[in-house]
Formats: sequence, structure tokens, C-alpha cells
Amino acid sequence: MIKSRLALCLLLVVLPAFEIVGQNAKEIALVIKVTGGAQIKSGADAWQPLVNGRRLNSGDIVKTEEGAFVAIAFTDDRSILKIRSKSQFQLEGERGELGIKKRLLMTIGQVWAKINPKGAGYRMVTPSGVAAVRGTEFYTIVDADAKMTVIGVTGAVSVFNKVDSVLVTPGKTGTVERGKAPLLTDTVDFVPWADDDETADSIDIEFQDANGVKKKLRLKYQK
Amino acid sequence: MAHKKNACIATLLFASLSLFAQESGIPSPPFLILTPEQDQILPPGEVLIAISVADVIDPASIVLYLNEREVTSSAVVSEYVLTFAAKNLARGAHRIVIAGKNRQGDQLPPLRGMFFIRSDEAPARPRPQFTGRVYAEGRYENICRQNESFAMTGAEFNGRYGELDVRGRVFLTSLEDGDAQPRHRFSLDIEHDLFRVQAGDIYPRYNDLIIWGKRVRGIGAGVNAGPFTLEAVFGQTQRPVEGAVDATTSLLRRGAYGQDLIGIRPSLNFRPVRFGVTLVKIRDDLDSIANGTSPSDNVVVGPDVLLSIDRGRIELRAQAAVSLLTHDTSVGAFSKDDIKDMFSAAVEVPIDPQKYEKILIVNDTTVPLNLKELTSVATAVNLKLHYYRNLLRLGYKMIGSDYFSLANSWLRKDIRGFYLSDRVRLLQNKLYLDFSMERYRDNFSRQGVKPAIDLNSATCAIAYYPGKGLPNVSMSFRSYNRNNGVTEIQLDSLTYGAIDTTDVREDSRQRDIHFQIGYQAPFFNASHYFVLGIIAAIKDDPYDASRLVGYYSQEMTSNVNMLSWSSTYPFPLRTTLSFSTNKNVLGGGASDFTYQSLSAFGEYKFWQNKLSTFGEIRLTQSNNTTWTEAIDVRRNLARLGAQIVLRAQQSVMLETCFITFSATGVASISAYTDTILRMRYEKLF
Repeated sequence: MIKSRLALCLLLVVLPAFEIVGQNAKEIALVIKVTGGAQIKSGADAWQPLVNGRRLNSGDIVKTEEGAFVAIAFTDDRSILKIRSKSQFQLEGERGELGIKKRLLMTIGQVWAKINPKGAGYRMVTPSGVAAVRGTEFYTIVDADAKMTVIGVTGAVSVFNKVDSVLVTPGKTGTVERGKAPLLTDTVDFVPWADDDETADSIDIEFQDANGVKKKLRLKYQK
Repeated sequence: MAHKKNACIATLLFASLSLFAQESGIPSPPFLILTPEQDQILPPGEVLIAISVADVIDPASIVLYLNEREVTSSAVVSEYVLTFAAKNLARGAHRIVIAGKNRQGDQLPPLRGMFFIRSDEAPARPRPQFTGRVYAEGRYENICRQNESFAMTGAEFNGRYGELDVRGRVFLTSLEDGDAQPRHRFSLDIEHDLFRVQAGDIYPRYNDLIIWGKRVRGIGAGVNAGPFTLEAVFGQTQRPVEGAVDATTSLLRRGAYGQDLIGIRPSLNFRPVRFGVTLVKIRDDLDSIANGTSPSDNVVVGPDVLLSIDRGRIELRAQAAVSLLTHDTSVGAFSKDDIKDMFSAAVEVPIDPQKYEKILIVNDTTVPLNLKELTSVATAVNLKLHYYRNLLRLGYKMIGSDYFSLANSWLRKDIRGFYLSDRVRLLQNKLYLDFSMERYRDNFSRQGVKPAIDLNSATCAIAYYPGKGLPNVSMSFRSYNRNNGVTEIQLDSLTYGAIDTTDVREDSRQRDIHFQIGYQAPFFNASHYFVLGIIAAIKDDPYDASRLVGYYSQEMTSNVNMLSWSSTYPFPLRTTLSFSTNKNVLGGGASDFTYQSLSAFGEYKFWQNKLSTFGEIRLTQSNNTTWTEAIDVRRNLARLGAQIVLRAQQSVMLETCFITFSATGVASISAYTDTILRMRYEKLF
């Protein structure tokens, strides 16, 4: 009797939730850049090559190959994700009245996220912990042992698991391993890479020196 | 144990749902450019333009421009995103503009963006960077058994050469006829930070009381020297078309004189104030044709001021103009003595007008006769305040009865009054409240026999767009009153000397009510949008019962009901089903007109939206009953078409339309079928 009530309750709660996700989970993000090999699996479809302009629905799985780079923009507030090679993640989101509530389920790889503070929120879920943000810029690395490393760039990131939580701020690194309390340390020896792709905010100026040799000057500017 | 399970499941559900349960955020703007970023500098190669589209937008209304060229047909428009892959973009700046309407059909403000393509090579010299399009279209049209077929072709380009922005346009049509005004169009526009040169068909906009968008075939130029700007235009607004006469030299068709225009506008721009003066002279060339009537001569001059402060939140515009018009120059310019003779030497004329006939030919057809009466003066003042979610507009205008600018001939004359309007945005731009009122007096100078008419209107409207899942509602009420102050039936002298009674009494009051509700309801895995609209209008005539025979009552009622159902499916199908009815009763029952229309439209896209096919059926029936006759008209329309996007940014569209028309109750109209066949080719560069 209790089991059947439980099942009914579950059905009543979960079914509408599925319905909402189905209706509001289309085109939550867009692939704005692909370099190298990357693939997507959408629903029951087979893996397909990921191309520029591809619309991403909630539940789509993306993996990047060696040397690949993928940039994704969320369609509600232009929050950006940049994913490096040899990464795999599943994108989830629900389009609500205040925007898309975003979630990235990452099993392995490296991602840079710049989340619009005016958006409806973003969570990054890994096997060892969760990073929750409202608006900030940070890097996340998930290694083969599911160890999650969060490096703060701007704003603050709440990194937590069942054991404890830490707040990662600029210059700090949060590390989480399965079943262990998150650790907070100073960031050392980390080279930011998000600006090194073609979408970086820079301009190249070519000029010739007195000997007619062409040289290139790269100016980076800050917004 | 059961409680523990319940608690566990509840915790899991909560944990899962809580991931989506954060607060705050902002509602999505109508459009959001996802890529490129504003002012982003990109390497050469294909550029992905992606724009997020909020669900309040009607996808069918979206238009995308890249460098002033519409590229919507080459873009992929889906439910929430529009993407366009721009190829072969030249080095330099590129502009994006996206516009569209909401599902209520209101035009939304366009969103603009700019990005840059950098060069991987140092440019040795300026290289042209052009985008453009060429097109050709042929239409076979058999309307009312008349062949109205025509063809047209054209090209447009837009680009940059070094520091020069260059735009060009050519439009050629088979309807061009030497016995009518030009229908071909061509223009070249070269713009630099310091100057601008235009040639061909140009449309100067200097002062909207004097010249605002009038076509001039000629040359235009502008020079910027710091805060000083000088603009000038010279050309022809009308080409000579000879009139036709019969053997007895009676005029069968009035000819059109060649009409020359010279315009000049110096202005000073000391932010936040800009001040300019516009002078325009237009004269019909008397020698350009042999058979014409009333060649005119016109001079208009006036200042304009713009004050814009607090980043445009406060904007004050003021314009004024005074005109002199000679209705008929064929008799030539009068001398000082001619004028004294005309006024029986009762006036003192300070100058001899004949000496200034190059500026204006003055004779007895010149208006105004007396400049001091200010009947040829026009003024307009507009104030805009944009504060605290309010957009408040206040304006006054006065156009004198003798004010004529042949460069803006559609300006309504002999009217003065003011308007006030306010739009308030509330609840995060979900609730809009509008209020406006106008008070004008038409024919205020009371020249001629017509009485002055007071035109008063007041409008209030409310619109609520609560967001997804809830219906959009808009309502408006408008009251409009015309009152000429005449309360009695009058005796009037007719031209042949007889006396007759006339009934020009007018004190009508019209009230319009509009209500519309729209609801988006996703079901069967498709998005559906339902709209119900009702418009009702009623006009009262207080003199209805006492109208003289032959003077129809001004009473009127009108009702329009509309229902539409638009669906967008997960596969590339879009459908719209609509039904509307209309009933009008005019003249206190003298005429009763009813109208019903049922239409079904569908569009299906194949091959990744490269091929778009569409079809429409519309059945229309109307009935018009008057005191003397009853006319039934049936009009059925079938439309089929397709557009295919080919390689190299080419597209071909083919559309056919058949309209069967039948009427009963009218001897002169029987039944016929209109046929329209349209084919269009377009290539973008």
C-alpha cells in the first residue's frame, strides 16, 4: 500500500517535471565555435559531428577529441562555456520565466565558464562535487579519478559535496575528491587558456620593419 | 521504514529540483546577439551570426540585415535562435540589425550590433569591400480581365573603399513610361567622415515642415567642418511630361512641367544643441512643355533646433518655416506698378518684385498676399522625456492655410493644436499603460465657406504580457470628436444665384474599443498560439433625426471579430488558420455591409530549410445592402508557392495565385478569375 502510494506520488511529481523539461528544454544553448573534432549525442540519436551553429537541447552530450576546442553560448543570457580537448559533458537546462536554469554534468575534461550574473543560475555537477554560481568566471578541471578542481577568476563559486563546502574566490583554488571535504588553497602555476582561442579580445597588427620583414604585433584589450 | 523511504525520495527530489530553484534573474530581452560580441574583432573566414529570439517574437516577422542588406532568407530561424553563416566578409566594420514583431503584431525596436574582420595581411592599398544583391522579378497579372503584367530588375551594393562608405542602387521596371513620372530608380552615395556626395534619386530630409523624403533626381552633397555642416541638393522633382490636345487645341490631358529644386541647409552642432536653417526653392520650368496649366514657383525657409541632454532622455525639437508660392507663373512677374494697380494704389510696395523674379516670380496668384497675417507660417515643437519608465511626448503644431512647400506637398494645412502621450512600462516591462490625447482645430483660419472643425481625441490602452504559460491581453479605448460649431441648417448662395439650404452641422462622437487576447499553448509536441480580437466602433450623430433629405446621417457602427490559430511543429511545418467577420452599418442604416473571411495557410520546409513551400486558401464573402440594392460578392483565393535557396547565396521564388470573383445584384459585374504568377530570382554577394 505504502509502495503504491509512493509510486503514485513519484509519478505525480516526476511526470509533470518531465513534461516541463520537454517543453522548455529546447535550444537552451548554441555552439558558437568548434575547432578540431567534437561530437554530440542527442537523445537516442547516434554520435554526430558537432558543427558551428548547432542548437543544443537539454540532455545533449558533447565530447571533444584531442586538440579540439568548443565554445557554447546559452541562449537566454549569453553565458559562455569554453571546453578544451578530451572533455565530456551533458548539458541540462530548463527555460523558466527568469531565464534558463543551467546545469553541466561533467565527467572529465576542462571547462571555462563565464556566467551572466543576471541569469537564472548555473551549476556544474561532477562525480565528486558541485560548483554553484550566480555570476562569475571560473575554470573547472575534472580528471580521470573524478577529482574536481575549481579555479576562481572573478566573483565567487560555492564548491560543495555531501561532506562540506568552500567558497572559491579570485586567486583561490577549490579541490574536491569523492567522499572528502573540499579543500581551499591559493592558485599557483595555473595558466589561463580561455583567451587563447580565436574569440579572444585581441587585435593583430602587421607591419614591416626597415628591412621589409613582416612582423605581427598582438594587442590584447580588456573590456 | 516507509517513512525513511519517503524522506529519502523527498530529499532526492528536492535536491534535484533545487538545482533549478534559484531566484532572481531577469526576463529575456526580445533579441540577444549571442555571437559575435559587440565590437569583436574576428579573423577572416566564415562568421557565425547567432541571435537568441524570445518567445514573445513572431518567428515569421523576423528580419536580419547584415550591412543594410536583408539576409533573412539565408538564415536558419528556429524556435529560439536565428543563425546565419556570413561568408567572404571584407576586412573592416560590419553591422548587424535584427528586427521583428511580437505576437500581437507590434513592431519591436530593432537590435543593432557591430563587429570587425581583421586582416591577416598588411593592406598595401585600400581594397574595395562590397556586399550587395541583384534580383529580377516577373509578374504576370490578369486582374479584372485586364493584363497588368510587368517585370523588374535591380541591384544594390554597399561597401567600403578605404575611408569611404559607398552605396548604390539601380531599379528598372517595364512600367517605365515617358508619358508619366519616372519609375526607374538609381542612386550612388559616397560618404566620408568629412563629406558626403549623392547622385541620382536622392531623398533629402532637412526639416520635416519643408523637405522630408521628397525624391529629387540630381545631386546632393554635404560637408562637415568641425561643428559646422553644410548640406545642399540640386535636381528635378518632376520631369516634363507633355500634355495632350485634340485638333481644336482643347486640353485632353494636362501635362506636367519639369520641376527644379534647390535646397541648402547650413547647421551648427554644439552638443547638446544643434541649430540649422533650411532654404528650398522649387520652380516649374515654363518652357519644358507646351500644354500644361498653372506652373508654380515656391520658396520656403525656416530654422530648426534640437536640444538633446542627459543621453537623449530629454529631447526638444523645434521647427518653423515660412513659404511664398505663386500658383501660376505663366503671366510672369508683376512690377511695382502692376501691384499698385491691383490694389488701387492703396498699398505701398517697398521693392520692385520684377527685379527679384529669379528668386520668386511674384504676381496676383502669389500667396500670401500679406505676410503680416502669418497665414503662410508653419511651426512644430516636440518634447520627449524618457524618465522613470515613462516615455512622455508633448507637441504643438500650427500649419497656416497659405503654407505650401512643394517639397513636402502632403503636409496637412490649416490646422493647429497639440498632442500629449505617455507610455509607462511596469512589472519588468510586462505591463504597458498608454495614454494620449490630441486637440486640433482644422480649417482654423476659416478661409472660404467651410467652418472650423475641432478635432479632439483621447486614447487609453493597457497591454499585459506576463510571459510563457499565461495569456497576453491588450485593450484600448479611443474617443474621437469632430465639432464644427454649426448648430443650425443654413441658407447658402449657389453659384448660379439661387438660394438653397445646406446641412453642414457636425458634432459627431466616435468611440472605438479594441480587445485582444493571445495564448501560447504547447500541446501535441507543437507550439500553438491562439489570438482572439474584437474591435467595435460606434459613431453618434446628434443631428440624425433632423437631417435634411439628401444629407445622410453620420451615424455608424462597426464590429470586427478575429480568431487565429498559428502552430509551429517540431518538424519544419508552420500553419495558420484564421477567421474574421465584419459588420458595418452606415448612414443610420442606409448601408449595411457584412463580411466574412476564412483562411488557412501552411508552410513546410525541406532540405534543411533550403526549400520552403507554402500554400493558402482564403474564402471571402460579403453582402452590401442599401436602400436601393443588395449585392453579394464571393471571392475565393488559392495561393501556392515555393522558395529555394541555391548555392552561392542565390534564391528563386515562384508563386501562383488564383482568385475567383462572383457577384450577384450588380449588372455590371459578373464572374471572372484573376491570375497572378510571380517569379523572382535573387543573388546576394
